[in-house]
Amino acid sequence: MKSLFIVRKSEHAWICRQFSAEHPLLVTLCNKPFIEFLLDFAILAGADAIRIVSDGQTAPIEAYCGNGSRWGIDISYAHMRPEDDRERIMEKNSRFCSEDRVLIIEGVLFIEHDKHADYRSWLSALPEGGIVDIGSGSLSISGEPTKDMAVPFRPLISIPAIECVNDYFSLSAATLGAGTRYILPGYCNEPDCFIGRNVVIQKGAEIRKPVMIGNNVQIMTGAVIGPATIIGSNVIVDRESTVKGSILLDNTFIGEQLEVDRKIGEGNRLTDPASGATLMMEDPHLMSAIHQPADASGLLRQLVHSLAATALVLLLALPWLALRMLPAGRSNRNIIIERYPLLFRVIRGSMRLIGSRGKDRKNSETPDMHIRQAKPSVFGYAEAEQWPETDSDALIVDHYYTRHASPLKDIGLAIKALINPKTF
Amino acid sequence: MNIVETARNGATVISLEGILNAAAAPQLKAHLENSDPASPTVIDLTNVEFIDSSGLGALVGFLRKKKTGSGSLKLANLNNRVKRVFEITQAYSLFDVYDDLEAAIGK
Repeated sequence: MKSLFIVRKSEHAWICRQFSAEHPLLVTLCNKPFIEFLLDFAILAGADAIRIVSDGQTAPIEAYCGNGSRWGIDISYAHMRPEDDRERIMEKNSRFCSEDRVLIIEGVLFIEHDKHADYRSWLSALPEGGIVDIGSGSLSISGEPTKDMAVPFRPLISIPAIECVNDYFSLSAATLGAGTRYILPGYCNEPDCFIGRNVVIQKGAEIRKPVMIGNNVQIMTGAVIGPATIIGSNVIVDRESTVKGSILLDNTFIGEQLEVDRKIGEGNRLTDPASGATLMMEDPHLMSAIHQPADASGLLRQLVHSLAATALVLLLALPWLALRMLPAGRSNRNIIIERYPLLFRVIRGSMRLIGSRGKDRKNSETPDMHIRQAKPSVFGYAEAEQWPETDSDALIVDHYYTRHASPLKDIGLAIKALINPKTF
Repeated sequence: MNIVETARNGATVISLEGILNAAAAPQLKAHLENSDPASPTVIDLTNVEFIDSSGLGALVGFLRKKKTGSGSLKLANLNNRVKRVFEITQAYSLFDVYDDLEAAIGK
């Protein structure tokens, strides 16, 4: 059997706004990304090949799942257009879908299942058609049954609606409570208690079940964790703080003597699931994000852009030279006047010299973290290269450069920028 | 770059082979300029080893021409490297991409 996951970005837009994960399917539920629960179910159903089809970016999912060798299956990726219906998607993936039964999981983030149940036999005997449909997601199967037998008793299977942060919160608690039904991360020496790697629990700290703690977690003296609490990875709970009935997502610091009750914490953001209200904590001693260290290539790139911008500032500071001597100066005075102040921002490090223009990035709804997190630039890549001329095409090549940029390419483009008559 | 054009089931199938970069894009553009904008066209990318922004620009330009002429353009058999360029540039939202040439042509 094969399985097709159909992911529409419009259905999960609220998740992108609520959580900082790179992709909705990478948001964690009980410290395990949604995609892994779907993979678990598909594997229990007997799928040996899975294709993830999306109308948005699949790169973050691909970076996480790879080719599926970690699960002993083949995972491939494909794109669709937002307006494509299920039949059209099947047609576009006809090579993958032909000659086999296909379990189609559409628009679903989570399927309640039981790892001990026999889904393989049940699905093998099930006739073609829908299995579960809740509007926001459905489960169906295509292809003729492989076994000529009566359909066995239906094992546990249901799709809970996850349409708001409160649904996510309730589902997390329910999944933790039914931990034996799922494959959950962490050591589980006793029921309802999952502890990850490199967890430091200081003397005097108290852990109350059911609880799940991720990797690289420090719980300081006098802290109380639980019950019904999920702590993500790379989290610090400072001394004498209490976290109960709550979820702390990855990379979060909880300050001392803080009480977190029935909340979702991520970085410096605290959300009340019942009301959906979110509080951004400004005081880093109360609650803050734990940042990963910056990489060296980023610093080198920053240096290249700053040096090139300094050279331009000095060059263009001479109006006679910039506006009269250079052929570019005569034809592009407005560009120079408009963007000259921005060069100082490049020197300060808040902008890039060349990359993706700010206005284009603002208009772009890309979920690609590289592009969303890239600093805005004074000049677009397309502009510096003088090609292409139309906005939409220019945006495409700007995105291409943003993803492929390196210190070496930046040096080349900085030199090009200095001699490019159209840009300057 | 090798460009082979055939007619199948009422559709024009253009098979590309080689690297679709800045050097090859003008050749492709010149070839596509002679194409009927109203006819259904499938571009088979099975043997395209690499595509860059210039190549992508040629395809986007051709798609625009097809839309203006009420024709259709489908792409078939993208390998992983080509897929990656479509992914990064979000060009997948513009094109109908098929994993099988026969399905793209239609029965």
